[in-house]
Amino acid sequence: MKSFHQLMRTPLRSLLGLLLIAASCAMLCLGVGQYEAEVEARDGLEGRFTTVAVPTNKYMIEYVYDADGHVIGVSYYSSQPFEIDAFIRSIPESYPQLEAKEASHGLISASCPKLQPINVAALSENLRLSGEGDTMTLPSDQPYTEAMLEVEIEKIGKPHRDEYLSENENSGVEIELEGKVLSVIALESGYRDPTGSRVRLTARFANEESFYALGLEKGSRCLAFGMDYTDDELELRRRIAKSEFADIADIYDDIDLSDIHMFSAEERRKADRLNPGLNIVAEYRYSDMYAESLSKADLDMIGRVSLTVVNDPLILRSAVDADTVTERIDGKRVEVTAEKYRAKYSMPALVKLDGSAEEYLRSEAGVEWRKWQEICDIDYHAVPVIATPNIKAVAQFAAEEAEITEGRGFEKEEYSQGAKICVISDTLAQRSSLNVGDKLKLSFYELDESFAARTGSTYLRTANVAAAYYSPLRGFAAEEEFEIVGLYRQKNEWSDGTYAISPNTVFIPEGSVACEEYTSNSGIFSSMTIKNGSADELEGILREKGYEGLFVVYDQGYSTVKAELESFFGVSRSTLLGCAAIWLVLTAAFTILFPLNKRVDAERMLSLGAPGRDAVRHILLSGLGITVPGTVIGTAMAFFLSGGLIERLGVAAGVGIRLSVPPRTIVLIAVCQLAALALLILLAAWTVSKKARNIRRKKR
Amino acid sequence: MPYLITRMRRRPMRCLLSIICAAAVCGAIFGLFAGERSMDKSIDAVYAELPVKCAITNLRGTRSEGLNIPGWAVNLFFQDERYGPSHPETIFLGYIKEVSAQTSIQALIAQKPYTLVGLTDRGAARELADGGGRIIVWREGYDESFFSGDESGCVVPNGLSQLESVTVEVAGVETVTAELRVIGTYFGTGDKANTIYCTWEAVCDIELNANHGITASSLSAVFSDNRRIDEFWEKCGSKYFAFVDPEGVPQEWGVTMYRYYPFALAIYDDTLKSTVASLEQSKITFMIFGDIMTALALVFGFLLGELITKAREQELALQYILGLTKSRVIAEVMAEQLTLSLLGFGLAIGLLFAAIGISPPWLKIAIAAAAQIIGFLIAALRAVGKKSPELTKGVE
Repeated sequence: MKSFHQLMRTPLRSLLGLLLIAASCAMLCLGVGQYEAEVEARDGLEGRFTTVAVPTNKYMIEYVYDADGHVIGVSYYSSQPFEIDAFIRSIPESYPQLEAKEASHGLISASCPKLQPINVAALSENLRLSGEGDTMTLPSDQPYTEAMLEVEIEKIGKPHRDEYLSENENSGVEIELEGKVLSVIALESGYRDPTGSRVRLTARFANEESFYALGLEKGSRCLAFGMDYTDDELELRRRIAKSEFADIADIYDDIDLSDIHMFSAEERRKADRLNPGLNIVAEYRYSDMYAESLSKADLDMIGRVSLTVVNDPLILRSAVDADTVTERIDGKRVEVTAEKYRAKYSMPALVKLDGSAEEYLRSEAGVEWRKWQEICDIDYHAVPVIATPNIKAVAQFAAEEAEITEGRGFEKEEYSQGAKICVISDTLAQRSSLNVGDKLKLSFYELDESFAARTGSTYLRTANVAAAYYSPLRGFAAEEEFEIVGLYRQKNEWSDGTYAISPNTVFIPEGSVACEEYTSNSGIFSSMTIKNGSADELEGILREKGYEGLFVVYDQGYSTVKAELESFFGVSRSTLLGCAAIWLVLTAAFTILFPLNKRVDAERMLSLGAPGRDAVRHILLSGLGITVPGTVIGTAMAFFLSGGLIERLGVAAGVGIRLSVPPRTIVLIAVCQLAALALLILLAAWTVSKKARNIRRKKR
Repeated sequence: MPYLITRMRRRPMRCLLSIICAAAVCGAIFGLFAGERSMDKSIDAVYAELPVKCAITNLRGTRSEGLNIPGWAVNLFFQDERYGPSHPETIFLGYIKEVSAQTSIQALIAQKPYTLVGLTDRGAARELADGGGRIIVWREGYDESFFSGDESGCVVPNGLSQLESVTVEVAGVETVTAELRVIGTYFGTGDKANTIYCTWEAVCDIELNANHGITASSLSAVFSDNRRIDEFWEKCGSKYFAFVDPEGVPQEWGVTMYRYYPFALAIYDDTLKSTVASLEQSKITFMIFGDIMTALALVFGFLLGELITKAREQELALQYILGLTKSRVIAEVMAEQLTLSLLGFGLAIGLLFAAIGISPPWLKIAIAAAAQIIGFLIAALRAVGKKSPELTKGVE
């Protein structure tokens, strides 16, 4: 107690000691805290920049040269050649310095009644497309063009084989029917209601007999189901709008078709002279200066929709008269009889109605039609879902063509845990009245490769991927509830670029659903993340290997600010070292002022005859009497500063500062400091005890 | 002065402690300031080097290509009266550089329809940019710098590769014919390719002659000074364009020509903002640390002064008894402490200046030094300011 009394006798000195210890402890904690904050900031910044290498199609093109070495032809492949694919796959192992990680994105289809996908066929936006993309990249209207209509027949054409089909007798016959839409049984909601419109039905039947067996005649009513519904008037409006207006999405409905000026005989003669063979009969006048010429066929499109109905699945296989056909089941080819094939893959096409359409659908005969009406509803709410191991590695995001505008992307652990979360486009969210935080019950289904009529172009695409048609034969593979955590926006929706995605595309973390995925080694499906700042190195490797131009690397400008970011990270290290140096100075000051100073007192005690243990105890107690409370105060200060003061000061300065030192770190630092100081005090005590022993020895 | 040094030499440890404390405080302030400056430099560099683009888009910001941008908007970016009315009060060119634009016009080549596309640079056509799917094979002596010139040349699809030149016919208000030399061929995606790529200048000339005006399909630029983006928007951008609105609600403009803004101007500065925000956060952390350290200097100074003067209480009292005035005693203590503090500060400044090479934060250091000196002064006044009997008692 005497030692404590002595401390109380010099309150200012003791206070200084306390302050030194507290300050040193707090300083070290804050130093570590700022370093951790900087590490967090660095991770955040590094995370903001993702260097992504996306394979280009350079090596998917094969040139054909003539004898003089001129290119005379080009072949395109939908996937990377084997050699290139093998090289890409070898990069992570062969060049570990790149820290390369392959990112293979998989396509699944999913339907959700809450989703109202955008049907590009019903949009004015698709007229922006150059039309020069290929089938692998052009936006797809699949699977929203299925339609079931009640039609009154007005005209029945003669059965014929068209130019393309005539080469193959096994493709059946075509009959053009004209009529009027009486009611809509199933149609994607993006289309305008065609009730009352003229309709052009192209009936594809196995043979004339099967068509005539329906007993259709002028004035008959029928139900028609097809998969290629087109609003012809919309197409015409689109064409007119495309020629002139800036933002067609806003104004193309303003195109007043009554503004079409029909040519006089003289004007027609003049038009024929200028455009021979085009049969120009009218024009749409945008202004006094501009006009769009219209032919007779164009005018026929006004107020008309069209649909193709197919009554035999073998027509699509060009095997109408075949006895057997091959069927792909689980990737294997199996020979089946035509009858079996028909029984399995038939879909409704055209049926004459005696009563109302509702009565027919309710009847026993209408069971199949009802089933397909429900299937239409599944398809109208279907979207392509990309399961990704890293959303930032998706080419559109890496190239900053798409960005999360609301909410967030996926966190690292969410990929590994397969979290049930998703990111959708703000366009899809708006159309479906959804927002971040809403939940979607997604029913996943797989592409049925065996169902010829419903395979579409899903697995040919390398961009603008679309949902597959739902196959009732395969059903749903999984059903899961996903939470929307972010919305993305693209700079160019509905483009036909090599890595384009449609705004219907939904992203989910890889592994969040157990379902068969479709993927490829090209287009949007394949990419590779590499260490930030190593783009040049990768390009060097490609040059060296002779694969120049194999990748296009996106780093969002990281390489331009690399040096600055590195120096930024260097400063935090220096600050940590600075804090450690201050800690050292303050600790040294304390050691000089207390344990070493108290040693003089202790020696005085010894010379006055006090027992050695008393002198040692004096040093220990007076030293620890300052050190322990000082460290406790310092720890409390560190908690206080890191737990809010710095943040509040930051807020006052207009910047959000996160300087949260984990309590465990603070306690660890405090324990280390205590241990270091205790060691110093013990050292001082040991020297005193040694002196005491010497004095005793001398006395003896 | 020599006596001052003699006195200091009698207490080397205490003097050293004073120097170390002063140096530590000064070093910490200087170090934190250096960190702050380093952040400033990084922020400046990020502002200077990170390219930020702006582009004309539809109102929802979901389309920046395939637009029909009228001449007046094109002129904002090019400041060329051929394109449309001039806008002397809002000079876009003062804020932007590297304008990237595309224009297109329908043309006939040997009675077949083609699209003539004028580009300011290869990247202006997405399909020609890296990874865009189309690859140009240039004829000898040409490369992509061709697009930035005004040569009457063109890059044609593979199907026209045998030609040396093409004659294009454009029917507009007037029919214009132009001869374009084939200087390259492109391959890649697009089986039905009917696009002819030319320079921006060449297509603009044809378009101006044929239609007496131009429209651009896309128009974007890079900001020349990222710090002036807000100023640009306030003074120029907002005068002609709407801000991107995800809902696409038309905003009233009310100029003679348009009731609503026909286009939005998207500014893609998210990466810049988030990068700068991180750096700013670190900078403010350093600033706050520096301010805390300056405040602590006052407390340290006071306590150190208290400690040192307390330890020298007897000596000071003795000086007083021997005839020195109180003010003289205090002056001597202060002179000594001032010397030690200055030595400590000088040492820290010298070392850090040599290591970092930036000028120290004189104001903060002066405040810290003053704080320490004030601390000493208060402590010295408290020690010597006692009544004479107490001082004498202390000596006895």
